[in-house]
Amino acid sequence: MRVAQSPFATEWPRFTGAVIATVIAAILGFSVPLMVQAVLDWVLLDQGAPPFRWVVALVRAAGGADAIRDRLWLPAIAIVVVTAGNGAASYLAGRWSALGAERAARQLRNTLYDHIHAVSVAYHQRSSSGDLLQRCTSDVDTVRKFFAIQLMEVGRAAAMVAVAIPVMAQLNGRLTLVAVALLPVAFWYTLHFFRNVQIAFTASDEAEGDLSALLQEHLAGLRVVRAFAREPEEYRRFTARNTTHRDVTMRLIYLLARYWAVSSWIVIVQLGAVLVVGTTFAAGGTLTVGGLLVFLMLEQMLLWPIRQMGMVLADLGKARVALGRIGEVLNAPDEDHDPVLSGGGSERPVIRGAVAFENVSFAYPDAGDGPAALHEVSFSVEEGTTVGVLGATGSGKTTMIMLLARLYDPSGGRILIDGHDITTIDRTWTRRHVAVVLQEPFLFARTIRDNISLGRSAARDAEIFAATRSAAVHDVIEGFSRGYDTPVGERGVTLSGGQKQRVAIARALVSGSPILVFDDSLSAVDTRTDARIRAALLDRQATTFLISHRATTLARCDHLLVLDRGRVVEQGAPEVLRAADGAFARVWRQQQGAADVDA
Amino acid sequence: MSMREDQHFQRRFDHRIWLRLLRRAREFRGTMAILAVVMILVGAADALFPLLNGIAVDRFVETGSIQGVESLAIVYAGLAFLQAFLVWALIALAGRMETGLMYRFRQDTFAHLQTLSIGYFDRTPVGWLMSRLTSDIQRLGETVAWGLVDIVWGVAMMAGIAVAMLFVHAQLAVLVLTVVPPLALVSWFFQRRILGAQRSVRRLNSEVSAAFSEGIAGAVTSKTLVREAENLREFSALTGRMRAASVRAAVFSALYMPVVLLLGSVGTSIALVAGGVRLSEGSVTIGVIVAFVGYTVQFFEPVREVARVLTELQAAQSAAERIAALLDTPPAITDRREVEDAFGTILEPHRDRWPRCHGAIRFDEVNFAYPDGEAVLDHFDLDVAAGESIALVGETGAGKSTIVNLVARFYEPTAGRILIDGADIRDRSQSWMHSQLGYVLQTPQLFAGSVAENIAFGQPEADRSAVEEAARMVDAHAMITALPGGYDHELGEGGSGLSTGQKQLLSFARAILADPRIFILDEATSSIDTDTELRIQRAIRTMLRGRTSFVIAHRLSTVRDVDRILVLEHGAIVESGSHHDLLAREGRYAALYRESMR
Repeated sequence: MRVAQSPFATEWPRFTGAVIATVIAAILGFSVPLMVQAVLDWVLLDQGAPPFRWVVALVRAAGGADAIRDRLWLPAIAIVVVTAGNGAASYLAGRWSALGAERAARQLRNTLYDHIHAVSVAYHQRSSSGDLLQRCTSDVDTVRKFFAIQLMEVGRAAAMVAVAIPVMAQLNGRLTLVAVALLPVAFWYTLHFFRNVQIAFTASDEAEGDLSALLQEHLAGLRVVRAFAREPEEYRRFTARNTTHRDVTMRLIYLLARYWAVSSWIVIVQLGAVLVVGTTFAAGGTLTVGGLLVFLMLEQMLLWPIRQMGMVLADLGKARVALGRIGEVLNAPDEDHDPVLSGGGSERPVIRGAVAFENVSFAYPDAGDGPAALHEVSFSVEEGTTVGVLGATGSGKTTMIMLLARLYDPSGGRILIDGHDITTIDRTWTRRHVAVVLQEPFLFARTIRDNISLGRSAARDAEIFAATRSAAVHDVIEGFSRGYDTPVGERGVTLSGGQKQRVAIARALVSGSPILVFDDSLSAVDTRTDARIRAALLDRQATTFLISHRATTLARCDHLLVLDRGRVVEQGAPEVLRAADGAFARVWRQQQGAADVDA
Repeated sequence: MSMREDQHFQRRFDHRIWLRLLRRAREFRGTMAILAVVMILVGAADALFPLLNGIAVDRFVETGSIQGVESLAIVYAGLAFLQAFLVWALIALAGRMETGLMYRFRQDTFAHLQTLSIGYFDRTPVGWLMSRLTSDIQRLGETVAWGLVDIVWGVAMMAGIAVAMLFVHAQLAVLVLTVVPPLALVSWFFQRRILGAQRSVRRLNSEVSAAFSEGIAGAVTSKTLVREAENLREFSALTGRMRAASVRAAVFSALYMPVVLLLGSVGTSIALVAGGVRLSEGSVTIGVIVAFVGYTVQFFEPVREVARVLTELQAAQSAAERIAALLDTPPAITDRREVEDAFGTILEPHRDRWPRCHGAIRFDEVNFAYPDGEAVLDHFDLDVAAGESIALVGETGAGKSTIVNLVARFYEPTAGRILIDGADIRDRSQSWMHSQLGYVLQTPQLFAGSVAENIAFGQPEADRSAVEEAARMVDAHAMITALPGGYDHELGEGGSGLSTGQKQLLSFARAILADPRIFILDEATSSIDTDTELRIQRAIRTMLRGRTSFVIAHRLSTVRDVDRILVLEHGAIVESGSHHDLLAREGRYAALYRESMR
């Protein structure tokens, strides 16, 4: 992404205003030393008018140098007023640049947030979430900082150089040469240093990351550490990383110490040169005392922004890289334009829940971590049917669900819902009618009530309670001190795997979707609760897909699909399959038979 | 525990907390002293420059003679080198203190965590502890090291300037210094607000990060719930608040600087007017005015820094309090002094002096209640022979986990005794007890590192052949050799990159290699396909052979092979016996078993 296309470009009036205000502030800032000079040289020492026309005009307007001598409070007030003007301009510059940068940053954050919801599931599976998070947070912050603070610094430094050098030159050309002699050195040294010190910064950050990672893992696995009495080894491991972090950071600090030492040296030598040469000139009469003071004050005002500018230019590269990384995220196509998917439909038919797969095939474009492939899967069920799905890991069960919820699209064949080809239906419309519960469901860091009503914000308490009772989790929730208002996660309760699954089931039930899909979502629930939930599900009129490894669960479905390496190897009524000598019969015997032997 | 983060400690500055923490940092006293000296020298040198300017004006410009001007150059050059060295020393020393303090506090906190009981970790979220060990300690190190630098430097420089001004011209100095009290007041006022505003920006910023993180992790769920639009609406409200807070903080800073500048210009004006009047009277030289104008410009930097550090110190106090509280948390379970002397501590166990364990376990009139008051066991008795396998069956809350937590000494009975081989569990060290245990959790927890390292977790010195043998025993060898790199296959943090079933098998191999006398298995409920499930069942049978073992059973298919099944209800054993006996009895167990098979 280039700056011109970013939201920062739209804020140009604010940034322009801020830069203008900065320049005005710099000019006003320089007038104070000149006024001090006029008072010293002209009013107090009577050495004649300074070479600045506006100062002369100002003094004349106040009644001339002699009149001022008796009214010294006049220039004093003028100095305070000019400084107030300088302050007002600096304030406006700060305010405008902050406003512009923060508005643009907000816009950029919103765009990114929207986009991570708009891209396909395939994109999320391809990309690392840590990297994506970094682009959305710290990269945005790098760019924001550049516009909020550093842009002003560049403006200030440029204004100072542009104003100070002519002013100095008007006072004394030769001293000006002395006064700027070391400025390029200071600038170059800072630029060079901050470009190269990045490696040390990164090393320190990485060492810190390693330390945190170890700590996180240690705390998460604490029971195992305890149960194996591994504390001494863990302490050694921690000590090693803690030591590395300290030493690597210390290396960075030594570099910084060297930088500040050298740059202090440059500053003092530069100031000393101005003082010694200036004193010589002043003693010789080619420079006034006030002129010398002006040189000393301007020099001090110049040195800081010059060094700052080196730092800013070194950071400019970082901001450009960050913007580029953000652009990469935003350039990823959304679901309607992702070549992996087949475009978005627009129809919004009434959906009752009849589902048919016609020779559905699916192959994930770059194999890798994507879902398993499917080969010519066909089946057809009426609305209200309970469909059981059995298959080993990697047999394509989850892929089937993802296709049904339009998280992926088939590469061959058709999926029909109530006779409509799914690709002609609006993607979100389909999802509104297909409620999916994943095996490891994701709950949001908000209250349990909010989590359950996520799919239908208008859900009433009675509906929520009915759903949680069906999911056999109502009593559990009531048992929490704040009941349904208990937040989920670190700031509230940590739910067990089974509790999470049941909350997610309630969430799916509240949505009132005519098609329900449970991707092994009862696996962490004990057998008794499992049976209760299933009984409640059967009362619903929804078309229900139940993926499970439990033969007893599957045996109660209306229709069974057995998947093996992406193909349907068996399907039909459970009783029929049990009687046949197939895969389901084998699993049934393994799970059931083992019990019957000694029962 | 939801209250932890919001806990408000007292807001007033409390030096006792700082002293208590600094006592732990005694090793840095020398560094601190040298640093203070360096800071005073830097401040004093900084105060010297305007004085030199004034002297130069009076000595050379006013007399019109440049004789001896080279001495000025020499002094300046000397100062340049001195100051460069001092600045270097200052940063190096302060850096050494900062990194050293962080290192020390992290070591101490980590070591202290090892002594706290499991109960503490059950109550305390991982994220809370992470914040203490990372950001709080960092804040503490930064504030103490650099805060000290800025305060000593600021005070030294202000004192240096004041002394120099009073020395040069006392009357004029007093006049100019009248600007300082309002300056200090304004700085205090603004710094507090700036810091407060920045704090809310930081808080909102972490909320935005959390929202992004949740947005990315929950993207698929949001899609299936068609929540995109509502999510964005909520997020936009959050970024709106973030924008408002950021602008507020920036505006405070943008206001503060001009006010300081303005007060500074008042100082400059006073120097000019009062000096000018006295110049015509002849009581002041032009060099004095030059020096004073320089001082008025230089005075503000340190005032600003000192005000900033003082407010930061106040903010860092809550970090200090949280760390002090963590370090002061007493471990709920400790080994007695005699026990520690005999068997060593947690971090330094004397393994060579440990007695052999046979694995006979007896609960003798054991009472137990969790700290929140929920009573679980009441006069509980249980006798387990060495090598006997026990299955615990019952609903959630019946006391299954409590019994194994007590055996593992993760918790201690509120009354009664637990005896291991006839000796009170408290007469043995915690490390000894834990070393006798094999513990397999419901959700297998692995660590970053190679497969072999993970299996050898409890026996780091085990060689490759022992590791492979352990893997073979649980039927995991073929699975491991199929991984790229085999036993050297590197796992990510928490063992990422493996399926749940694979992690389970590795955690079994890990448990078997440790060759424990007592085995605790919290049966997994997660979903595993039937073939893997059968392998795991076989592995469990291998593991239990010849060891005292406790199986927390969720699926009754595992428990048919154990010697004794205990059916628990509300902390009491309601049925006890083998699978056959209990089925024949037609009681609770039989009912549960039938139900699970239905």
